[in-house]
Amino acid sequence: MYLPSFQYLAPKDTGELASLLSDHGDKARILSGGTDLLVQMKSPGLRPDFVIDISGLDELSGINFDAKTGLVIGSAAKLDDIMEMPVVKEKYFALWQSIETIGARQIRTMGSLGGNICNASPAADTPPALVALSAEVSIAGAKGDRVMPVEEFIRGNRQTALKKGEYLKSITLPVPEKNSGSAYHHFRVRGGMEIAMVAVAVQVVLEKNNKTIKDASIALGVVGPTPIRADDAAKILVGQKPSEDLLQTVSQACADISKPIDDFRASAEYRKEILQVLVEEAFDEAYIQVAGDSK
Amino acid sequence: MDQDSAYTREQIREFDIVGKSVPRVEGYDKVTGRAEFTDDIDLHGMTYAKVYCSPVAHGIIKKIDAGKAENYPGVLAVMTGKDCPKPYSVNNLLPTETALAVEKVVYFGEGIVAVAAINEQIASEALELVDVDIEELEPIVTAQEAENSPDNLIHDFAKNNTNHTAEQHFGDVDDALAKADVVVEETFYTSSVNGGFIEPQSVVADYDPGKDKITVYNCNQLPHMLQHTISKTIDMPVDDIRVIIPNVGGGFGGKSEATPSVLTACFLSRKIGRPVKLTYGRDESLYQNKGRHACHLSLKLGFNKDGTIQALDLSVLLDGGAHSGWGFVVLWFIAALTHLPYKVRNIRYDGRRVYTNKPTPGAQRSFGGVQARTAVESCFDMAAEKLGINPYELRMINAVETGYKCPSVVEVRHAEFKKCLESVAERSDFVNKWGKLPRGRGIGMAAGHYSSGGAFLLYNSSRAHSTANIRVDTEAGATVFCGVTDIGQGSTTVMSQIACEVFGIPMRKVNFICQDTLLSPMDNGTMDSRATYGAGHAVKNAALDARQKIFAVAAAHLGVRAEQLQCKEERISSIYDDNRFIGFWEAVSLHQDVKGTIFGTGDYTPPQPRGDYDGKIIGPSPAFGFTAQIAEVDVNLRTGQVKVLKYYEATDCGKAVNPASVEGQVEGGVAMGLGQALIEEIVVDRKGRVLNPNLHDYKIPTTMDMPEMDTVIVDGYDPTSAYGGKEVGEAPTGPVCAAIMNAVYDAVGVRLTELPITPEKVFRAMRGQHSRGLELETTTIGFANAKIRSV
Ligand SMILES: Cc1cc2nc3c(=O)[nH]c(=O)nc-3n(C[C@H](O)[C@H](O)[C@H](O)COP(=O)(O)OP(=O)(O)OC[C@H]3O[C@@H](n4cnc5c(N)ncnc54)[C@H](O)[C@@H]3O)c2cc1C
Repeated sequence: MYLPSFQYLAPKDTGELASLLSDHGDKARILSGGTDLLVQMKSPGLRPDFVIDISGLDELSGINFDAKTGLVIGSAAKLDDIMEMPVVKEKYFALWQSIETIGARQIRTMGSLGGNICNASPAADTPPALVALSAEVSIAGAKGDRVMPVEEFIRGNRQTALKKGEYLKSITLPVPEKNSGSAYHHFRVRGGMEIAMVAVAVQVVLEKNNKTIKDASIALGVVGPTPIRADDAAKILVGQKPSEDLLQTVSQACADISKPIDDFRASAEYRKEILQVLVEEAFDEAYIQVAGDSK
Repeated sequence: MDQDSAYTREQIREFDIVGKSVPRVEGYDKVTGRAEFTDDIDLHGMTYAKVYCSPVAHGIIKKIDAGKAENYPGVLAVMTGKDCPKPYSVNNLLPTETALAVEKVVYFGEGIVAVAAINEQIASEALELVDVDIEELEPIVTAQEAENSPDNLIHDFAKNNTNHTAEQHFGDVDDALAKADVVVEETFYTSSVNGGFIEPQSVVADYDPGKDKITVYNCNQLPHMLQHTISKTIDMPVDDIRVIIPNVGGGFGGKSEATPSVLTACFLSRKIGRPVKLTYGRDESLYQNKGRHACHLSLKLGFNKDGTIQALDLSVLLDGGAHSGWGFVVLWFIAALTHLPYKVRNIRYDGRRVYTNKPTPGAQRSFGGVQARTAVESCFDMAAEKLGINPYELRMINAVETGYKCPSVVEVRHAEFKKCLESVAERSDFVNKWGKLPRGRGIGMAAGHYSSGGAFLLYNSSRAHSTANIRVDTEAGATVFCGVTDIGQGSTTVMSQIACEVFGIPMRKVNFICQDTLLSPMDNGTMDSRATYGAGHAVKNAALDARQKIFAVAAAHLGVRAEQLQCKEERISSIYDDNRFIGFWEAVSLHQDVKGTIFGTGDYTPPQPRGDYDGKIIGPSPAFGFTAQIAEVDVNLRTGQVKVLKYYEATDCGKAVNPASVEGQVEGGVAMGLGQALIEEIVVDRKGRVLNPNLHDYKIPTTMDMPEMDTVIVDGYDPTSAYGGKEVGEAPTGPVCAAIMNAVYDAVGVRLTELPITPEKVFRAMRGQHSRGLELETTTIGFANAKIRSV
């Protein structure tokens, strides 16, 4: 196991980063924590001539919460540092749960949120949570910045909306409405160091002093090349009080739009069964955060 | 006089260092990263080899064009199968393996071309320039296909792709089954798993053109057997080959034979006259495999109403992969391992091992044991239900005890098996919990045993199984030379403890020189759980031999008869008068002044029982270790996921020479079994391609998967052993799958019979559906659909 030779570049600031990216284009790869990149470079295929390390850039490592604009996470912010922010567990519980499950401590200490998104693995943990929490990404490049929702940024298996010379700057999560809760549930066959076989993130908003659902969003993970925002299924919940029948209808609607693969790890049919269980469990957990007890 | 004069202390089994959890001799180095493994070795002029792995599982090599690779700057040599075509195998039985494929490819990932270059990157880049033209043949990917494809032979000489067959019959099974009150029968499939050692195989071959000799550094369990394999394939005399085993990052049996990389590196090094390093990636390590045999089993057990077992009828079909490996031994070992740990007199075994175009399995920890225990222990529970006897009681009724003689020549000279059963049952409250936990919760029991080294040697069979030499002087302390290999199990520590005990000196005064064929005398190697028992005897005998010489000097000095002397706390004193003493090192010094350096030697060969029947050489052992286990599980009723909540184990390893190491073996052994039970499997597709050649998709358990472990070493002392100890490295792995399967049955009332019991399989079983999958087409080799039948 060796790394092929490459030139290592460490820009001092984002200005230099932008110019290095425009100089080297496709021949360069950004290195953040390296927990995906270096593994890929050690197997045949990925052989960039230049590796541009952004892990030392403070401009990309901040994690800031503002009661009006929400949570802004720099793309190179470490997963562990994000988890440690009390506000993340408090207001963005689904994100906290999705990070907590990643790899093990060592991986979370090195790995970044930007890396998890830009790697665009269909099995990545944070994207479904980010989608359910309506997160947006900021992309920077020579031609200026662009902003788009996470579900538009991740285009396919290992594909993102990044164009030549662009990089991911930050991720913004809006302040959740009052009376809202969220949860991320995933299914995996091994207890640790394991990626999800199916994942679901749910955010619910309840009417004041009421158990009626005001709004909901559901994101499905690992059941298609990109996270799926299940808006039609979520809509079924709006204006309703939760019941077993209602949840079954919703989870069935989620299963209907999912497109899981069928491989040696599990059949598509089984993945859909699990998806339904997860939708119901994640909803329950998010709902209990607000309503205090079950339906 | 060769009597052990510390005899009195030994009789009351009071020891200073044996029985203590002294820290591992190599522990500091391993924890801090100082320890050197094969891949860490950096020799002057080192070169690096890489291998072109076959993209197909079965095919004829039409053409190899390696011209561009040969001319690539930095490449020193290119090699193909024709350069080193001599086939080898374990014990030279049906040799078919070669350094690189010759004319035909028989498994996915088999090496076809190798290059040596000045660094790894150049070697890899050169391989990309190699063109290989292979005419693909239909691959054989299941054991059933192998038997039913007379026109598609993997090796021309092997009709119906049969590798070995084995038949044994003791007593009269048909008669006993006909008379039995209850007969249970079931078919099982145990999956193909890999040892998952953390260090993929690595070799450095260093040919010395001046001397025309070669030194080979390799993580291998059997350095002396490796010498023979190398000698045969690259045509060099055995004594011109020095094998050195650096630290080994786990073996589990998978490193008990030569990988083709060893022979490739030797050949290349001799060709270019420089050292060559070849380290496998995890993918290559999994293609080579040498893990556990996938096995189809059909088992019938007959019992009387009182629970006594009357007959055992087992037929097995082993998926042997592309080559022989240790397959012959595994096939017979399954037969041998069904004889125990229960007193069954009528036994029939019908085993077949066939070739398939798959990674070759070998002798993985508890080899033969996992297969046998999975079937037998599951059927015991089925019978218990039918008989209305608690599974614990049923095992107690039939458990072997000290002195039991099997209908074969296998004899159990020491057993505390019943204590093991009692211990786990009591600690877990098994009798009250079994069958009474809420749905989704279950408890299951299983038990097993393993041999402490075979009574018969498989190679070099005229030699002692273990030999040790000891040098004692004030320049270096006590230095033990012994051929046993520490693969992480702790043999160096245990052997050092034994030497210290004999001399009455502290651990730091002992040097243990092993794992080097130039320095260490011949040893049968680390496998079959034989080191502590076999090599332990040799070390003790060598130490006694040396001590006797020291005592002679001390006796004269003290005016005390030598046989009345004892060694303790670096003093030699009279057993009657502790004040008549001389310092141990003072006595050694006296000896050196008068007679020179002290040398001692000792060896050990187990008793070899007489008797004649097919397969006799596999099974008999001077000592057996025993284990009883209980799993408590939670089965998720919606997803089918099984979580093991708590695991109870009790071990009979005789006297635990190093209790902490014993615990490590037990917990590690259970972890390995748990992986096979729930998540591990090498998956091969219809074309014979390995779909999960990495530790991401080939899932070994993590600490997060491990339940709380409650293990106990039951009180025991095997008087036939050097210090009362016997095996513990393998027994604990055997019954784990069965314990978990029995617990799942208790939890949800479905009996899973195919490993691993993945969530999807449990989910489908709970819904009454059959599992699907590539390897899951179960076979009815013996009997039709399993049913419980009462006669
Ligand atoms: C043992 C192990 C276990 C793991 N377990 C999990 C798990 O459970 N769940 C999970 O989701 N993932 C897991 N991963 C994957 C990985 O750790 C995560 O995806 C992590 O978040 C990646 O972050 P990084 O900073 O290391 O990314 P890097 O490896 O540095 O980068 C990943 C990719 O993103 C690109 N990139 C990074 N930052 C930017 C940017 N700012 N702009 C543009 N492109 C960028 C890189 O060029 C590269 O292509 C695991 C990895 C390992 C090795």
